[in-house]
Amino acid sequence: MVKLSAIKSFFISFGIFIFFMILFLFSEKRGINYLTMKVIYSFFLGLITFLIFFTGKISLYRSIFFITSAISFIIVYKFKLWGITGNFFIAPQRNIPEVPFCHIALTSNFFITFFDQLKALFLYGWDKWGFYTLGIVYIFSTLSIGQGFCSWGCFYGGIDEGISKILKKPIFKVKSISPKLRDLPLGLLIFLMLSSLVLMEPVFCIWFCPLKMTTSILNNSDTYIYKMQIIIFLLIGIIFLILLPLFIKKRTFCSFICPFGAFISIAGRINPFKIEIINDICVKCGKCIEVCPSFAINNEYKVNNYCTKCFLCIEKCKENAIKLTINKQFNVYNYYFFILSAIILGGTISSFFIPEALIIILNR
Amino acid sequence: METINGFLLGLSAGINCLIICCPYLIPFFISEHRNTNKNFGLILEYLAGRLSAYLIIGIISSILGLTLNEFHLSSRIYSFFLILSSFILFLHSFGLTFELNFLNVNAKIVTDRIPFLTGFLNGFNFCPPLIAAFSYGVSSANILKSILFFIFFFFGTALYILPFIFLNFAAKVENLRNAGRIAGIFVSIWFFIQGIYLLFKV
Ligand code: SF4
Repeated sequence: MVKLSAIKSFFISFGIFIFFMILFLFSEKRGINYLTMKVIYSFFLGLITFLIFFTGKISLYRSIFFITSAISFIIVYKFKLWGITGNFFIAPQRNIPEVPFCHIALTSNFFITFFDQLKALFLYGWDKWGFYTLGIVYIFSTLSIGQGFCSWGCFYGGIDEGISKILKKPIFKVKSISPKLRDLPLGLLIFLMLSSLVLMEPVFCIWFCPLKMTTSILNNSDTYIYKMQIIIFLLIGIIFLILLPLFIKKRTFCSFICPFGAFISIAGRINPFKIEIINDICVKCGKCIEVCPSFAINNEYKVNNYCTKCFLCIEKCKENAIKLTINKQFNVYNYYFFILSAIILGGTISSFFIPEALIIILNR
Repeated sequence: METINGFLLGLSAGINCLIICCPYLIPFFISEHRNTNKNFGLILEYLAGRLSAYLIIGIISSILGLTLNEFHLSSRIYSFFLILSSFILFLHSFGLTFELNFLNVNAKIVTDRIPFLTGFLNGFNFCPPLIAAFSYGVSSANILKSILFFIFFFFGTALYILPFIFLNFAAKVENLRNAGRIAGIFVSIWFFIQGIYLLFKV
């Protein structure tokens, strides 16, 4: 486990604080209020970094950061939606693009956009290019920490993680599941890409995405279809985002629905960071399988590609048998590389809404 | 002239064929790991199925001298084919996912015969280029010319389908094989619902 002295932890976290301060000083142009909040936010990131390194409790402090990010995201976009439509939940008449370029929509839009870009290349010209520039940024972030994006960068993931932490003990104990079931989001991803291509619309966003509960609902002129969409996404939301995480203490939306998670589980394979269980030390007590929120450890004590690098298993393993490796090699510096990359990535993404959420809260 | 026209129309229509065929072919080819030769054979079967459908359309169009718009049953026919092909894909994907045997015959053996049938059913999808080809068939008023036109129309569209052979690289990954089967189940349910919807909308 990574655990440093107060001085070393301070210097590392100070580096993070300064990094974000410089970033915000040059990029923030909306005035002193926003800048102040970003200074506070930089301090928050520095503090989280300090606590991670000083206490060694990676999962706990990651979780605090992650859930803060999700809550801030909801606050900011709900208030924007309120500002535009006067309604917190549904934008009945208009499509309101109040969400930033959404990484979950990226997956189901992939083929449509590819087709459009192909047409742009042959018919309309280069000025239509755009998706790939943004897409590449996402893919780079995925490659830098792999599926760790799901536990450090995704501003939706903190919702089911937050709900899964409400109860101390699960009401229903689900230790492991069939590996085939764990491939469900990947199957859903392939289906969504294909159906989106045929229908020329982002099928996931329109029909399935329960995260619309945090933003707004896409519109459809056919009221029957519109009602069906609401029923489907609400059911998915209530079951996978609220009830299951609450009752079984697992991230069920991320594990069984999210097509973006499935997408980066494939793209992230080339990422060198891996969580591995050292067979010689492991006493097969089953604790890691029990606590893993992502069903990422199978009954043979192997970590699969769906591990989101939340570090909970590492923290809970009494034998210290679980390590973060780079290309199968363990070194304590692996933790520094990973955590710093993850905080820089997650911190940059969340900088779009945590400071703004602070402003909204303070103004109320 | 029929050959060039048919081929060019096929080339321009091919991108649509790709979109129509993707939902069947991608889950089918990802769900099992076969070598490239075997995949090539399966694609040829699929294409043969489609060619047969085109030939039947070509012959009917010449004999009846009707346009597709006059052919009022078209959507109903298509919905029927859609439901049928969704059943086939469902049996294939469901059988593979849960390792089931149908009527004591291994699902794999049955489903390896599927490409021809699926290609045949998909060939009846009345997309705009096919309607254009259909009206050309009618205007030619000559069965031989019409058949020649449809054969070259088929060659033009076939070029877009051939790259599916290489999906065997994806099928090497176990997670993707499983996912292909699951996607097949989703696609079949979706096409079934669409088929029923179309049937009652007509
Ligand atoms: S395997 Fe460990 S690090 Fe990976 S998701 Fe599960 S608990 Fe978190």
